[in-house]
Amino acid sequence: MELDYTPQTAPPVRDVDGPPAVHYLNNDYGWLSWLLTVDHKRIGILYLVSVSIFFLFGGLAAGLVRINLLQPTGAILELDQYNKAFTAHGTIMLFLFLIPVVPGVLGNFFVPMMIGAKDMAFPKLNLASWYVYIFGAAFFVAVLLIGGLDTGWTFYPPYSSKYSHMNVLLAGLGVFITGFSSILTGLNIIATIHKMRAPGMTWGRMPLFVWAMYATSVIQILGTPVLAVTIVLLAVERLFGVGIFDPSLGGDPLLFQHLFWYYSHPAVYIMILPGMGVINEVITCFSRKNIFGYKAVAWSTIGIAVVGFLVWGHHMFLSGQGVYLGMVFSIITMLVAVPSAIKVFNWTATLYQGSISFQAPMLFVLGFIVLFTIGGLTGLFLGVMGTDIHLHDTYFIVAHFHFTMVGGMMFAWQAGLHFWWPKMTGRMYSDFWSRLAAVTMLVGFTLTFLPQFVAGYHGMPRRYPYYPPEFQMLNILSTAGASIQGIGYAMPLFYLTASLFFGRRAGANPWRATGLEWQTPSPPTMHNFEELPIVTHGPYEYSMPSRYALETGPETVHENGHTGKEGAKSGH
Amino acid sequence: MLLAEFGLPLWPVQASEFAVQSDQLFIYILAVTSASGIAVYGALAYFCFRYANKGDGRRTPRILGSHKLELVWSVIPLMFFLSFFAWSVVLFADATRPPEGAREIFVVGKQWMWKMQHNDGVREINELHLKIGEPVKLTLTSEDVIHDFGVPAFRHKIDVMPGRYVSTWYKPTKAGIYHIFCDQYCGQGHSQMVGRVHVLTESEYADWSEGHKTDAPGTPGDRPTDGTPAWRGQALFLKLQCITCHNNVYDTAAANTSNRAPNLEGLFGSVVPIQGGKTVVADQGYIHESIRYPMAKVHDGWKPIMPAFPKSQVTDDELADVTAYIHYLRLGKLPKRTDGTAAPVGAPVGTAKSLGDSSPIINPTPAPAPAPAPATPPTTTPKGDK
Amino acid sequence: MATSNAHATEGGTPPIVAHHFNNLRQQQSSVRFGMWLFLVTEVLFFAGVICAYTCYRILYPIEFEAASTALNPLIAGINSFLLLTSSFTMSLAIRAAYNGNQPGLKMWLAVTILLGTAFLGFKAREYYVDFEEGLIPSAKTAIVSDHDSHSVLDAHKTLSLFGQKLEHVLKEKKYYKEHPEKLKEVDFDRARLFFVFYYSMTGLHVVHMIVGIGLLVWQLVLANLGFFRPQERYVYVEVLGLYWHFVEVVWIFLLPLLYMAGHHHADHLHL
Repeated sequence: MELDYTPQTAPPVRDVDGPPAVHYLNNDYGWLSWLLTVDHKRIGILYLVSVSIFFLFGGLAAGLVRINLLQPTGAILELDQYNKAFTAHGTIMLFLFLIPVVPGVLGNFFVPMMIGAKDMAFPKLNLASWYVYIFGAAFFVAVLLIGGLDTGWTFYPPYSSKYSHMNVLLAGLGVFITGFSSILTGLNIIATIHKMRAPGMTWGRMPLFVWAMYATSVIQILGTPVLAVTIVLLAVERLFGVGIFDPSLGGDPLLFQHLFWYYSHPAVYIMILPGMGVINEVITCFSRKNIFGYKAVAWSTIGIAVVGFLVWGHHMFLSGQGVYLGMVFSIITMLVAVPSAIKVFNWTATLYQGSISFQAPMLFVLGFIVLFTIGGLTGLFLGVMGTDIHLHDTYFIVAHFHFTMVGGMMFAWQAGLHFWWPKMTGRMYSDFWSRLAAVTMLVGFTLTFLPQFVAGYHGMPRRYPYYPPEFQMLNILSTAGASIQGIGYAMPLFYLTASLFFGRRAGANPWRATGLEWQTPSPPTMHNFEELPIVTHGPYEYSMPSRYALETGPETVHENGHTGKEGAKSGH
Repeated sequence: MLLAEFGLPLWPVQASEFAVQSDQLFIYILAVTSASGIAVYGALAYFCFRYANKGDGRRTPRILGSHKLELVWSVIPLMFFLSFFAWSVVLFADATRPPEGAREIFVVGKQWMWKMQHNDGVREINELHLKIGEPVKLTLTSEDVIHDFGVPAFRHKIDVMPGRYVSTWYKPTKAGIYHIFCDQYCGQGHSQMVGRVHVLTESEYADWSEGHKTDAPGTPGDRPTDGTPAWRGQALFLKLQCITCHNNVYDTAAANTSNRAPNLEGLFGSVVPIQGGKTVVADQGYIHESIRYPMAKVHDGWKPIMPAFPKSQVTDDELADVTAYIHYLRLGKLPKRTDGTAAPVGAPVGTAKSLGDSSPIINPTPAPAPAPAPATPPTTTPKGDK
Repeated sequence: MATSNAHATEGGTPPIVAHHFNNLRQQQSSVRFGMWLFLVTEVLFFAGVICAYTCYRILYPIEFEAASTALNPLIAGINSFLLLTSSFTMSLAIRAAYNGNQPGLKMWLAVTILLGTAFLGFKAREYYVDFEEGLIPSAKTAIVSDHDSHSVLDAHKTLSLFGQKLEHVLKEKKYYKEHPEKLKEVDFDRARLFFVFYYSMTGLHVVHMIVGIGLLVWQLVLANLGFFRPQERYVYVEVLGLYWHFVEVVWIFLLPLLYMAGHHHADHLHL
C-alpha cells in the first residue's frame, strides 16, 4: 500500500460514511475482553479511564488545598489535614496522572500506528504494565483511606524516616510499584520503535511524537530504577531504624536528596516531553505546514533527555551540597534550557505563512506555548543560585512547576486528546464547547498561578497552611482561578462523553492530517493495517511537496477546497 | 501602589546588602526573559492573525527550516543564560564568604521553633535582634529534621540539617521587623515555625542587649518565649516543685545515687527502660501517664517515689503545657560532622551519648569563654569525623 | 536452524511467531532487545545502592574496613564458585536449546537450578552465622543502655549493643589481634552502616536469584511439555540466560565491595 502524503493534489482519502463494521471497540464484548485484552488500543482506553479517575482525586485534593488557603489561619482544614491534602495532591498528580497519561494513553494507542505496526513489541507486557499501575495506585488509594500521608511528595528524611507517624511505607510501596509500570511501558515503547517500524520508516521519517515517546521512554528506564532503590533504602531505614539517612547514626540526609532528585528531575522531562511531542503533531496539522526544523526539534528532544540527567542538583542549591557542586549543576541547567527554547522558536516559526485554524486542539496548543514559555523562563530564575536563594521553597517555585506541568503538560494532553479523539472513538465532539473549555482552562489557570509568582517573590513559603495575613488577597485570587480551572477540566468530561452517543461520526481523517494513523478507519480495526504500509515520505508534508527553496511562496495551483477548516467542520 | 491595597508593597522590602544585589540580578533576568517572552507572544499573535485560515484554499509554502536561524536562536539564548550564571556566581561567591570580624550567632532549629544564641550569651526564641549595618555570621544546625531559615527581606534562606553545621551571613541595612519563615517542610508545625528579625539602630540595639543578659547560673537559663505552652509549662514545673527532684544537673558518673528522679533533659522521644524488663518510648502519652499515674511505668533503676498529680492539681490544659516544656527540653544531638562548616566556637562537637553532656542552649551554666583555638580545628577533608 | 511455517498454528499450540510480528527474525530480535533493555534498568537499580554504599565507604573507610573483616569469606568464595559454574551450565542449556537437544536442555536447566539453590542455601547459613554473632543493625541494638555499655578494649568508650557484638567478633580476627590500636580507632556505631548495606545489597541480590530460579523452574516445566521442541524458541532460553548472567555479574560487583574491603586471614575460615 503506497501512501501519498500530498492531500492537496491527490484525491482526498475517501471518508467512510461510518465506522467499519468491525473495529477494535466492538470486535469483542464483555468485561473479560477488556480486562484480558492485549490490543494496544484497548489498553490505551483502559489507561484513559484510570488516569481520568485519578486526576479527579488529585484535583479534589487541590480543591481542598486552595479552599483552605482562602484564610490565613486555614479555612476548612486542620494543620495535619492540610499536610495530607497537599501530599495527596502532589503524589497522585505526579505518579498517577502526569507520568502515565500520555505514554499510557496516546503512546500506547498511537506509537504502533504511527510507525506502521500492528501492535506494540510486547502486547502482554503492555497489559501487565496497566495492571501493575492499577496495583500500585491501589496502594495510594489505601493510604488515602487509612489516614493519608503527610511528608510531601518528596518524602525527605529524617522527617519521613523517623518523625512522620503516617503511612510512609505503604505510600512508598505504591510509588515503587507504579514505577515499575513506568519502566515496563518505556521498555515496550523503545523496543517497538527500534524493531517494529514499517519498511521505509527511517528514523528521519518518524513523526516527532514518536521521537518524543522514544526520549521519554529512555528516561523512564534509566531514571525510575534509581527511585525504586531509593524507596527501598528509605523503607529499610523506617522499618528497621538503621540510619542510612540519619545523621545521629552516621548517615546523611543529603544522600537521599541526591538519589531522589536523580530520578525526580528527569521525571519532569518524562512528563513534558510526550506533551511536546503532541504539540508537533497538532501544530503542523492546524497550520497546514511542515514543522520548522524537524532535525532541530528531534535533536532537542534527545538533548533534553540526556542533559536532563545532569542537572538534579538544582533542586538542592541550598541544601548544603556545597557551592562548587551547585555551580556545576547551575551551568548545566543553563544548557538544558536551550533545547526547550529552540522548540518554542521552531513551533512559532511553523506558524509563519501557514494556514491556521483554531479548533480546540489548536487552542490548546497555543495555550501550551504561551504558558510553557512562562514556565520555562521562570525556571531560569531558579536555575541560578543568586536568585534561587530567595525563591527556593516559595510560591514562585509552585507557580513555576504548575506553569510547566499544568500549563504545559496538561494543555498538551488536552490537545492530544482532542486531536485524536475522533480516531480513537470514531466520533466528533462539539466544536463550540471544546473551544470554550480551552479558553476557560486558560483563563482559570492564569488567574490561579500568576498571582503565585508575586506571592513567592514576596516570600510566601510553600506547604504553609497558615500564612501571614498580607498574602491573603493573592491567595483569594488564586483560589478564584482554581474554581474556574475546575470548571474547565470538568467540561470535557461532559462533551466528550456526550460525543460518544450523540457526536457526528468522524471519518477516517477529519482533520486532513498526515501520519499513518490517519490512514486507518475511525475507530481502527483490530490489527490497524491489513497490509504492511510502505513509507516513502517524511511526516508533515502538508504543503506542496515541491523541491523548491525556502523562499518560494505559496503556489497558486488549482484549489480543490481541501483545507484544514473545511475538513474539520463539525456540527454539534 | 496597587499591591499595597492587598496588604503587600509593590516591591518587597530590601533589608540587607544582599537583598539589593539579588534584586538587581532578578531584574536583569526579568528584563531579558520578558523581552523574549513578549517577542514570542508577539510573533505568535501576529502569525495567528496574519495567517489565519480564511477558507480560501491558500497553499502553504514547504518551509523545512533554516540552519542559520537555528544557530541564531540557540547561541543567543545560551549567551544570555550564561550571563545569568556568571552574574549569579559573582553574587553567590560574596554571599558565602562572611567578612572578617562578623559577629557570630548560633541558631538551632527544631520542631517547631528557632533558638538563637548570641555570642555574648543572650538567647532568643523565634526572635532575632540585629544591629543595622553590622554583618553577622550565622552558624546553624537542626535538632531533628531538615528545616530552613529564611528571611525574605534579606532575600536569603539556608537549609538547616541535623548532624551538621551550616553557615551563612548577612548585613542588615534597613531598620524594621521582618519575617523569619521555615522554608523546608518539617511536619505539622511547619507553618508555625515562624519568627521575626528585628533590625535595630545602634542605640536601640544597645538598649535591647542590656535588658536580655542571661540569668545567674543555677536557674533554668532558657527562656521559652512568653506565652507559648512551653513557657507556661516551665512556670508550672517550678510552681509544682517538680524541680526539687527532676533537676537539670545530672552526672552519669555518679550513677543514680545523688538524685531522686531521672533527668528530663533529652527524655522526650527516647527509649526508656521500665521496671519489668520492657521498654517504652517517652512520648506524649507516656509523659501524661507518668504525671497522672506515676506507678504505672516506673523508669528502671529509680525508686517509685513520685507523687501523682490528679486533675484537681493539674488540669488537662496545664498538663499539656508541662508536656510541651518537657518536649522543649529535648536534648539536641550535637553534630559530629564539621566538614564544610566548623562548629561554633565553644560548642562541643560529638554525639551527646550520655545525658550529662552539655548543650550550649540547654545547659544553664553560661557558655564558656571562647577558647583561643578550637580543640579540633575545622577539617576540610570529607571525613569530618573526630 | 529449521524454518517452519512461522504463523501457522501447530495443532493447537501457540504459533511460533506471534500475530503482531511480521516474521520470526523481528520477533527474536525484539525479544532479545527487550531483555537487554530490562537489564539496563536493573543496572541502574543496583547502581543506585552501590553509589550510596560508595559514598559512605569514602566517608568512613576505617569503619567499613573493620566491618568487612567481620564477614565470612569462605562462604562468599564457595558461593562465587557456585554462581560462576551455574552461568556456565546456563550457557550449556542455551546451546542445547539451540540445537534442539531436549534431554540436554532439561539436564542443564536442572543443574543450574541446583547450583542456584545451593547458593541460596549457603547464603542462608551465612546470614544465620551473622545473626548468631549479633551483627544486626536494628533500632534495638542501637540503644546505649545505662548498664554494661562499655567497650572491652577501652573502658571510657560507651557502645551500643551492636557495637559491643561487633567488637567482640573483630577482636578475634588475626589482623586486629596483631594491630589492636587499629581496632581502637574504629567507631563501632558507624560501622553499623556497613551492615545495613551488606544486608540490603545481598538481600536484593537474593531476591533476584529467587526470581531467576523461579523462571528457570518454569522453563524446565515448559521444556518437559515440549515447548522448546521448535528450535526457534531457543531465544527464550537465551534471554533467561542473559538475566542469569546479569545476576551473576552483580555478585561479581558485590563480592569485592563487601567482602574484600577488610582483612581476612586463612586462620579464620569457617562455614
